[in-house]
Amino acid sequence: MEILFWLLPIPLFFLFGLRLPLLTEIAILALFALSLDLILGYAGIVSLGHAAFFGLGAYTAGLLAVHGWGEPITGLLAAGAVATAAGFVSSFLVLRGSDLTRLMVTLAISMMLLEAANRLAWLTGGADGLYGVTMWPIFGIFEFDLYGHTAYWYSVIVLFISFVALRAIVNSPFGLALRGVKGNPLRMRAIGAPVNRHLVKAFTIGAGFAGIAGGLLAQATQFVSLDVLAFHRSAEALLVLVIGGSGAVYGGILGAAAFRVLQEWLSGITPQYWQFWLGAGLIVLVLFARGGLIGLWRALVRRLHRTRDEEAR
Amino acid sequence: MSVILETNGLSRRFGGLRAVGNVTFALQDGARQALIGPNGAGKTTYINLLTGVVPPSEGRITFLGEDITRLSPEARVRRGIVRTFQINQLFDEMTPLEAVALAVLERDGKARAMWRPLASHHEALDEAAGLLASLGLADAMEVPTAEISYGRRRLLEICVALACRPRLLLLDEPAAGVPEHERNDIMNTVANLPRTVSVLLIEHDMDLVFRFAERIAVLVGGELLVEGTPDEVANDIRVKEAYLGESLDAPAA
Ligand SMILES: Nc1ncnc2c1ncn2[C@@H]1O[C@H](COP(=O)(O)OP(=O)(O)O)[C@@H](O)[C@H]1O
Ligand SMILES: [Mg+2]
Repeated sequence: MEILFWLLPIPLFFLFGLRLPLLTEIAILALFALSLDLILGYAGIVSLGHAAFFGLGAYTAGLLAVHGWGEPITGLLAAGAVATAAGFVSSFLVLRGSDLTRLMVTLAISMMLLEAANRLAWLTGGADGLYGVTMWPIFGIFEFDLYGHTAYWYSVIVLFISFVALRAIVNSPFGLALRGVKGNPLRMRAIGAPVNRHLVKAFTIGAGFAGIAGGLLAQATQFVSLDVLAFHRSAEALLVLVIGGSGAVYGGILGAAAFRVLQEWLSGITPQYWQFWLGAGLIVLVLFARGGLIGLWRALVRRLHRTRDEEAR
Repeated sequence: MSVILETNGLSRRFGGLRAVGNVTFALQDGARQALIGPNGAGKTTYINLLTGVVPPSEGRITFLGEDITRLSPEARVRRGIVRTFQINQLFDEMTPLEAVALAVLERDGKARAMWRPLASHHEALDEAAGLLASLGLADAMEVPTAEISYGRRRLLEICVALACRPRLLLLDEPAAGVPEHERNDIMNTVANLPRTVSVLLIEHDMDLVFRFAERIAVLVGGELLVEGTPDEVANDIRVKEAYLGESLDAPAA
């Protein structure tokens, strides 16, 4: 089942050859949502400003390429490293307070970065965006082509590698500890767990992967705009987790695909009102499928198992 | 016998209310000590002071000769002061096996490990399974915590605490609200603990208290009224007064 899922990008490539940029965007959004899921779905840290780390990664990768270092893989690692460092430092601010404070602080951090990027136009291009991002071929072989073939495969592979790493983390003892912190911090302290250290670590790692997602966007589209730091980007990742299901690694991927496809489709048929329909759909989902798509999928699997058990009896 | 825990003039005020007042008390290593007193006497607050969840207004706490008054709750757990809660504090989203394994992993500093799957940490999982089995919870290991009976969830609460390898176990009303037929399981578990674990038991059921305790401390209005053997306490006129004529064999209100 999982192997089939990860083979999907191949038929998709041939079926939707002309829509590859959309598929690439979905992969990037999925990675961004996955990084938020570690923080929100597993560690239980609410955030309205996850775009801060996405944007830092995007500008890092973009600026490196503009200033003469267009090597994609090291550029991506640099994007992740800068976001990781920023995540580590800001985690101490974010984790101090209650949920409400955390919402405010994360939002404030992303808004400050947005304002800074806007002011530092000499560096970031400001509102015009950062032009002149030229990427070297991956491994010196695969050129980023006009059709977006390379960008597509590159994004899918980075998503896959990050997915494997994040899944290893959530299935490890550390992942169990995060579930403990989210489930009952009082009990976690009573078994001597370093609750805050666990949270700092989760926030830092989540920020790092968000940076990689941002770097990926800059490299794949060869452009960075202020948009990478905007509030709607943080909100989008939250919506994706609502749709796909949080605290479940596949939730981010399913949610990203459903969200972008729905957005495309709705904005095609009702250009003015698509946000309304998206909102209506979300309300239905929250009312009838709290666990998102992944929750529906699990309920379906459970029901299938149950009927099979009953037939066997 | 040596003293494992000592509090000197320990007090805690909440606004104008003195929940714990000037408690000077020593617990012997290997003790089977009960702490009783009417509702609101400050028993839970005293445990919160010992575990560091609530800082004291005055006084000192010494554990194994070390002043731990300012130590963080985590650091105290690592030194061996472990508690259970009056109201279950469990991980509803985990199985008992996961919950106990998590306590084992945290104790050994292995809950930081990120790259090996939990399933490959056999030592921790085996230890957790053994501990659950020794408390008669073997068949509940993989059942969602929320689906286990209340009495067995109380046992799980103790099991999680034991996984931390306590030197001093603080039990806050472990049998409260547990139906009669499950009470014995809990008290047998407590009675069978090795002497390397000192126990301070808060309990309202006087049958259980007198069956278990070798010494009893009585807290009233935040102050330590009497401390002595069960006989001394049962015959103390002040204790009888404090319970306002209630018989000590009946559970206090
Ligand atoms: N966090 C708190 N804030 C304010 N008052 C508290 C707090 N914790 C306990 N108290 C008060 O302290 C007194 C002792 O409570 P407690 O220690 O729970 O008693 P016991 O466990 O003996 O029933 C009670 O009057 C209670 O209302
Ligand atoms: Mg109490």
